[in-house]
Amino acid sequence: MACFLVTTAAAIGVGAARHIVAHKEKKNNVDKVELEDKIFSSQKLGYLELTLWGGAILLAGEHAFHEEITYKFPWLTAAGEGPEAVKEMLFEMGTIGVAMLVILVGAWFGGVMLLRWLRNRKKKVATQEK
Amino acid sequence: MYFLVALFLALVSTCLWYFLREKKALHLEILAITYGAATLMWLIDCIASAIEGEGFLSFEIPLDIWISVWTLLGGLLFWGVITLVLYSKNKKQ
Repeated sequence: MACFLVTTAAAIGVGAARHIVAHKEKKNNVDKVELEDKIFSSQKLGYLELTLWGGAILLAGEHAFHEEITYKFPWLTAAGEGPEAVKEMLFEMGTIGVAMLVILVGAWFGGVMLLRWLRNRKKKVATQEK
Repeated sequence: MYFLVALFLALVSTCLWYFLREKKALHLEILAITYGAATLMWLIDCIASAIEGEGFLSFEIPLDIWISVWTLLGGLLFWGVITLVLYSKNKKQ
């Protein structure tokens, strides 16, 4: 019904966090190598923001095709169908929407950890060869 | 059906990203991430449908075809816009 709104809200939040982190990195003149080991660097948060926006935009289109969102106020079809439909919509957002958010954040975290492991392994092999 | 289309597009874009990884200006990671994210979100949707007893996959023709076309074009449009923004940002610097 409106499950993509959960990831949209999260994308806005992550975007704000990325701006704050980027500002701090610039202010403290943080080294690029130092940033590679940080999980919450502005670059990695940028990838999370991209993941959330990308998924949310494609799902918003799908919801428009299913007429679950419209160009008329209040834009969400369920919101204009009474309290029962709103209740159902909020339940869906709290279950399916949150599950979508969890799987996207999990995939991002898995990707970040995988890259970190690959980089460390590369470093280890390079030092062993020396 | 659009879940399968998104999965296919995610696999293709990931392969493209891997084989063209030296061409960083293309930012193919954006395309792979977009399709990958949509695939994961629709996977959750499919699981929820299966739990509700509606079946894991739906094939509503022609609606699903239009959604599949949107998936392809929407992803490409998103990638194009972000790549252009990054290109102009890098040019300024």
